[in-house]
Amino acid sequence: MSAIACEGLRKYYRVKVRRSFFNRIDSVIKALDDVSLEVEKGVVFSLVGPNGAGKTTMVKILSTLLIPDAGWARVGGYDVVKQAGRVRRIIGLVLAPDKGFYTRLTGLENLVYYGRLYGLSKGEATRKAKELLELTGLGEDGMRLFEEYSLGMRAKLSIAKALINDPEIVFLDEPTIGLDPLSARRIRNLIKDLAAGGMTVFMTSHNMWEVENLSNTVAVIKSGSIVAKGSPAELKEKLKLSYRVEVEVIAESFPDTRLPVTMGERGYPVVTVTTNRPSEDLVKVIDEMRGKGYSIGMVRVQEPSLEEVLTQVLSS
Amino acid sequence: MSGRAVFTGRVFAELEKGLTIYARYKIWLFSDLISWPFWTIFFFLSFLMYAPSLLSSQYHLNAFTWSFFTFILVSSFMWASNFLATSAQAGILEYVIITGCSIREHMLGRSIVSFIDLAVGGPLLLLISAAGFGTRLFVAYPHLMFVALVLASAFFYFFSSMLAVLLVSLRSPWIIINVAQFIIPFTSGAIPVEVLPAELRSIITYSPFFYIIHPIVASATGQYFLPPGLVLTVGGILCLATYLASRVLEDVLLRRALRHGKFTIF
Amino acid sequence: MRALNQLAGIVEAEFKALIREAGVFIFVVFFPFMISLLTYGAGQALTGGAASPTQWFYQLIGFTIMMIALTMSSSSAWYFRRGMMTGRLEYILAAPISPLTAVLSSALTNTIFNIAYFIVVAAIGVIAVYGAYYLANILGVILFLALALLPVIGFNLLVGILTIFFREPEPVANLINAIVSTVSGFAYPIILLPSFLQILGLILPYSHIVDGVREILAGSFRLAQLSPHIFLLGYLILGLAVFKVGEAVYVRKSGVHW
Repeated sequence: MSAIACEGLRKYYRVKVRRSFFNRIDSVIKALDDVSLEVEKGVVFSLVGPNGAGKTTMVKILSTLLIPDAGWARVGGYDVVKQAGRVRRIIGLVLAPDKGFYTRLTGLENLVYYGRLYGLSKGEATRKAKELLELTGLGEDGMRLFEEYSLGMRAKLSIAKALINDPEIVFLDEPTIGLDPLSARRIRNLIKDLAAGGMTVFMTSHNMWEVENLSNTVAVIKSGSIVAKGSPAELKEKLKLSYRVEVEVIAESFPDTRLPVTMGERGYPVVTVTTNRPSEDLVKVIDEMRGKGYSIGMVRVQEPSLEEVLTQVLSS
Repeated sequence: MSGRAVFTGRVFAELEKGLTIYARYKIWLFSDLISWPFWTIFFFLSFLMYAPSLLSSQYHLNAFTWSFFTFILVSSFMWASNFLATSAQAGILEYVIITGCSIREHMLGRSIVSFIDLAVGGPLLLLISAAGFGTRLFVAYPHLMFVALVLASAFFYFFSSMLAVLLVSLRSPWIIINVAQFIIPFTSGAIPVEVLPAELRSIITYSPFFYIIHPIVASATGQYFLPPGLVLTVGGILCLATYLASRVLEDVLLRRALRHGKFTIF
Repeated sequence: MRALNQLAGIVEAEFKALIREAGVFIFVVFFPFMISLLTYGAGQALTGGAASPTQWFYQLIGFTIMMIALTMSSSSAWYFRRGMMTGRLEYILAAPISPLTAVLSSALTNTIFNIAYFIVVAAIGVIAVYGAYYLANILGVILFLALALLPVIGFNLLVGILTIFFREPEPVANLINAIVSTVSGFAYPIILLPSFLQILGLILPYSHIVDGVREILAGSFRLAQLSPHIFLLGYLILGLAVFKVGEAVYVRKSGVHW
């Protein structure tokens, strides 16, 4: 059974557009338009796309905060509309990391509060909250008031809150936003550990490097529709994105070749080829240069990044 | 954990949160303690400017003290109506819903502050009236006063929950609350009925709030305008109706929020 | 010239933000009528119908000035709170503009807004009680308020510094508002108060303002009555001085972020 499944999800919003003080017109925003997807248990699934593409709407529907206009969705096997109560018991959620907490309570007090709303006793909630503060790296900062927290600390507390009820599935909307590199790495490791422990992680992020490193599956959403889906490697394969092959030639001047040559960082010419068959073309370039009597310096093959995938998908 | 234990845990979590926030900044408590006496003097004299001679009438001083007591009660609960809008704007309400906690349970955290306000402000008012204006306080029917206070607290707790739902999407809900906190008590029995002109007396009985507010003042003065049994029974029915209305409105709010992604009843 | 330019820029921005809160304007106009009619009704009841329209007008004007006092101290407190919360105060401190210019611009916007508000309420009240002939007196009140509200700006700078110190605008504003409302003779002559509160009322600027406004509207104000207001300008000087000290000692040392 999949951890998350949905089919034909649709959500339209009616909004009023102010053209001037007196002139307002009704407009319809298609936040989700016939979205279907499936997420296996224990994986990290990332939903990526530009701002306003429908990511948060998707998270809100799956976390029972929004009812779709059409289609169905199941989380942990439960219907998000008809069995919302059951879904809520098995999920954790991070929406906007700087929101959702009482400013005049400490991080610990906020966590204990939410823990108790989930039905934990005060003792259990306190123990669990302290454990999560350590896990997210907040530690002693948990005793400080939320209003004194930096954005990064707030993001960590949001993740701790999402885990207070030992959920089977967590929804994380941009979990590492505002975090310093060390803290972001800690959170990424935590996400990996959670998935390794069997938890399903559904996340959104604008950090493509992070998505590529964390995710088993990535879906690209554009104007409310899923336009590409697969593992990062599958997406690159499907889109036939080109590799960049660079061969440094130890020579005083540019070698005699019809291939593109630029001056490299070390002061030697670099032959650069953009290709979909990196291994074959690398051998060809090396053979050609050797055949002309040049020595080969450094060789580099650059894989296309997920950012390029996203750029290509969104611009097509 | 059983459903009842979960509910009890939530109630305690909300109460503890409300108390912690209230007690965190001593300036709040300090401000409340100093403000109440000043506001009491202000309202007393604003009314009595028209008839300063009443400052020497013990009956009227006692009656007006209890009038202002009802104002403190109404005002304390009315300000709790602001809470839901604040909670929604801070992004807390969504997370609370995810935990399975109801809006009603969530409101408890703020309502405890209303009870504290009443518990502190009420006796303080009586003290100031006695010490500052020389009022000899008395309650003609203590047992009816007890019933009236319980009824009024329950009614305004439900009423403020109801109002909170209606005001949740407003940018400035405080404007309506500010106006209502004066209009509701002073047009519905806070001013002793016996001092009103005859034509006004029967009109104010049409206000549903009359059956909640009048019993407090009347139990103190001993001047019930209608039979106490009738007034308190109607008050009890209104209390139940407000409770049911608040539940219905909360359900409607939640349904609309899930449908439209926004907390609004309209 | 540059400071004037900056001042005009801030006043324009603040004014736009203010007029978009139409609800606030409606409330402040509605409130004096509501509360004065409420007390008038109670007065009628207490006196057996002997309450007079001039007594109602006395309170209407008092409650109007009270609303100005309350909105100015509350918005002063909230100006600092919002500035601290949103980081705007830090931007102002870091910008090549005197923080005082920024704060005074905001106070000036409030003053203009409040004078406009007063005109609306007072015009209705004057027509209702004295007739349209007396409307001209409102012009005098506008000139008077332009001078008399200067000490209030200074007073509210002190409130602002208190907000930064306590980090909570609401209790600070509530406390100041309760004291100011009680001792300033807005709704009743301060003679009804115990003597120590009367002294406090005379020290604060508001009782002088509300008395002046009532006398101008009644056509009985004499220029000599302006003299206390010259002394009250001490509040402006004090406010500016405390603000400068507060800015240097507290704000820069401890930070103004929320």
